[in-house]
Amino acid sequence: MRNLDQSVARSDASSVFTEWLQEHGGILMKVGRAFALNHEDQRDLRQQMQLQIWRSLESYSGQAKVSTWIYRVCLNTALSWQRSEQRRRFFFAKATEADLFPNEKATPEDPRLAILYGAIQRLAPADRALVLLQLEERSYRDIAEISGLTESNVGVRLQRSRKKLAAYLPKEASV
Amino acid sequence: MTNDELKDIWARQSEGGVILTPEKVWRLARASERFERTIFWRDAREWIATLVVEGFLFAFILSQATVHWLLVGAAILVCLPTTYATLLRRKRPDPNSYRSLTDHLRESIARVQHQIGLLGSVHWWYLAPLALSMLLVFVDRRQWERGLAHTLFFVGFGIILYAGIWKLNQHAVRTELVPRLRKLEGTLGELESDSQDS
Repeated sequence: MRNLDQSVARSDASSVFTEWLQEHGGILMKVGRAFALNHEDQRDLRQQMQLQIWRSLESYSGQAKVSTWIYRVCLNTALSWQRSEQRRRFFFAKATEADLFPNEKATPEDPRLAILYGAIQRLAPADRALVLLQLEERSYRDIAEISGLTESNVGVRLQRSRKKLAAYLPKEASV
Repeated sequence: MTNDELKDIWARQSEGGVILTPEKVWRLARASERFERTIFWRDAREWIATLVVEGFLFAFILSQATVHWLLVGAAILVCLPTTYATLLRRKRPDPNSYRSLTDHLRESIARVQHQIGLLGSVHWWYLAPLALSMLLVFVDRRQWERGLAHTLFFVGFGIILYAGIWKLNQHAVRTELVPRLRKLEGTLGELESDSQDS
């Protein structure tokens, strides 16, 4: 996995972007599904996340892991995301259509996953972000780095988010 | 389902990795550039429209045999809103997406508050100079001498224009910016409130 230097030529950025999204494209899928309810909105949000990653690429200093950095950009985009206006859709529809995610419906998924996503979607946005990071088995240090909370606060916050998630899951499921 | 089972279900989901060809990256980059260019040209159009109005006004002033100070004042007033708006726009860039969630939310909140403030005070920095410049033109050209109907039309047009722009801006604040601000503040509050409790 290549990292990006402070100053990078745009042609290098293009190959790094390709490499990073091939490796970490799943993050966009998961965040998109957790923060947007229907397929159209999920696609719109993923387009926004791709765009933000592309535009923020030069800011990557190599201090954080690439996946941590991508999570941060994606969650920030999702937290401040609004359904796009017609004009922006017009610009990005052709460039970033679902063809970038050809495996989206390739394999049938575990029905329990849909229940889990349903419960995540019912959480408040901040809880959603934290629960996602925990399900990804991120360390407290990573979560603190992404969220801007201190490591000790992350523990307290996660406990509360987990309880809220458990309340939205069917009774046989517990967290 | 236990916590481990949930993590297992989560981990086994199809990641659907993004398959990008150089052509797709190029398309994304081009779309991004096109969008930024559109924003640039939207700003440029505002400037060009203002310059055309100012150009006409200054040309008219220069065509007069004597200096009409009221018209000069009107022309200067017309320049003010665009200059002010441009300065304000530069002062508050887009929030950075690569910061932490709390920092990003704070930046986003500050930006939305800034926009609300800007639209809330539109009567001072945009409408008042325009209305004043119209008044100066009215006085300089001695429009009242053309009759009551003409004066009423002139004043009525000014009031409708003023009220229309004001209402349009306040509608945007009420329906778009305030709900967005509440949402962002709520999310930041959720993140921070528990942190402070601990």
